[in-house]
Amino acid sequence: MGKTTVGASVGVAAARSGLDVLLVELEGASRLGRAFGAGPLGYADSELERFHGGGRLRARHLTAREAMREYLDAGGMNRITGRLPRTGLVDLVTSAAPGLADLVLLGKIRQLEQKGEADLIVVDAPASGHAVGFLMAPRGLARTAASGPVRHQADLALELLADEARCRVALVTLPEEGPVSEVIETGFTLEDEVGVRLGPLVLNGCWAPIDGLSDAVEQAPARGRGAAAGAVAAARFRLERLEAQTEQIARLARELPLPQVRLPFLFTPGVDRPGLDRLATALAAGPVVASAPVSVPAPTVG
Amino acid sequence: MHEALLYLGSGGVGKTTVAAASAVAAAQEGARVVVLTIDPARRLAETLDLDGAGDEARLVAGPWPGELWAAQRQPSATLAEVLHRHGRPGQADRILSNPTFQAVTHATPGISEYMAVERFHQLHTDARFDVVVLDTPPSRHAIEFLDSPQRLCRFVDNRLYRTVLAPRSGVLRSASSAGRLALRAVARLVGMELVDNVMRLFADLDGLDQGFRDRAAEIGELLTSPRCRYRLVTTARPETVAEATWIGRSLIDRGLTVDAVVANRVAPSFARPERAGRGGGTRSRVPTPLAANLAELSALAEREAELVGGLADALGRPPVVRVQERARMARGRDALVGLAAELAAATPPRPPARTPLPPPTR
Repeated sequence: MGKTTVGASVGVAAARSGLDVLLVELEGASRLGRAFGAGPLGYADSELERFHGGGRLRARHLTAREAMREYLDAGGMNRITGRLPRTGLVDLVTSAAPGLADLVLLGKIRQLEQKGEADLIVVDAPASGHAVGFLMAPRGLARTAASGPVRHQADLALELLADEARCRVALVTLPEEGPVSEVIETGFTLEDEVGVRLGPLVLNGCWAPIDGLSDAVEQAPARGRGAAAGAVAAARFRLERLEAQTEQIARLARELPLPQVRLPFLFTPGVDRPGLDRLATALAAGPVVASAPVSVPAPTVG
Repeated sequence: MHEALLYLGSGGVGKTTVAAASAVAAAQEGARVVVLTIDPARRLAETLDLDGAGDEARLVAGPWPGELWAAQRQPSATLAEVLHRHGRPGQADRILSNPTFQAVTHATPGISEYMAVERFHQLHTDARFDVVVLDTPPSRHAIEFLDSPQRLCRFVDNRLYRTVLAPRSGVLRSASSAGRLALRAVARLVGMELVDNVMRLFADLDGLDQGFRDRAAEIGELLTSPRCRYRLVTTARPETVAEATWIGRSLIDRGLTVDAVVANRVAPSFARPERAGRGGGTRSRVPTPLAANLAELSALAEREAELVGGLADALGRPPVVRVQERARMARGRDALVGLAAELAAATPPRPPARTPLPPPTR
């Protein structure tokens, strides 16, 4: 669905407006770094770019293993464990207590938020099937642990997730049938089961209409040949595609009524710096009300 | 031994549909084929008009000479079965009723992947089928299922647990007191309740490791045998191609081969004005909105071709099947049959069936 790209674009848009932004990657960390001409991200943060007006973009890759080790060390673990295989212990705890790894990651994010590490923290969460599990981890653990540090951590994470002034979930999807169905289901699950507040819905990859395209098709000779026929076939493809897209956007607005941010489909795709700038510009234009007539911003260049 | 087709790819690339279509293609060639999916969204059921398909393989009616079966995995059902198979009387029930274990089956990476390959192995040895098509489980890393048997063994046979609670030799006994200390420290941080459940679970799992190890070896052998053919599904976007490249390289690193790449939903390409005629007579005859659209779509097709070409180069140039994007999502059995034809035309032929058809008589 391009959520990594969208997350990075949100970061760029915020940093352009002068904010200090931290991007947090939880999965594959190499692509994001590459887009900014840096190597793969590490657990510690690294600066990707500075902006005119004081904005700054940093990123880091959080892993459950390192976060867990940090958590255990903070609890005085390193003094006690001594010669015991510490990685083994960390693995045992994380693998045998499901959800704990996710909770520790959420706890780490919460800690960054509490310390005021950045004006805005953008988390690239796991993909949809796992996102629900990831955000449900605190609730699950709060249910099994009546008291103790796990319960405490779970409560803190739940507090963060439920506080819309501190945390919002932005769902990213494509204006196509399958992804739209999936995001509707995910949206309801997150609201009902996690109690998190959903921010604007990001519709990525919206094809922009071309003025006069359907008239041009109608006026085209019925039996064109070669290049002319190719152009007409291409136009028909786009028109049909736009029609299907309009239907899906309308369905989404009906079934998951949230403000929508529509990002243009990039015909020369790539997570490169100019691409992120174009998406950031579209994001900065703000959401449209879901019930408004469907329109797609034309891609802005530069 | 049966033949197996394993479809791998990142989420959202249409892997489930491609796997189902490939099963249809095999049924069209006369094979008795079963497709196994682990998709929680039940997309295969939808595509095959197979709503509510359970754990057991079900026969799908259709216009093909062979047999098409579909099965949907329920990891918890397989898990219960596996535990009953390997466990002593009462052991499986004890494990299954441990609250920590229930959570483990849902959340521990590797377990549901293991259940997929376990079920895959079962179907593979089932005499009802000639071909097994596996829609590999969606996971954070699509390749995880290959390592899942070893991971499960490590989980069941956790050395640390043995060090801490079940010392069997003098050397380990001395380590045990340090182990207990560490355990107490962990308990202070994550809660005694959790540690209790975990330790009880490991005590209950005791003795299962040999059975699991044997099974893991068997499954590992199956997954690396030449009868298993690995096919990659991807869309032609930079992020999915990067992921597919990584998955493909991981297969190759394990000594496996990528049998074919399915580039799904690639942009259609349309006839364009000759390059030589650019700015000349050809171009001026095409009205502007049409030209603008054609230029955009052509740029897209070119960029995608580049990406897919790069992927093929990185993986030793396996055959590439390009499935064109439809303006609307194809659905239903007819769409599947259409996709099957596209796949069959472009993927490597399957080895001859075990029992060759009798020669035609005149």
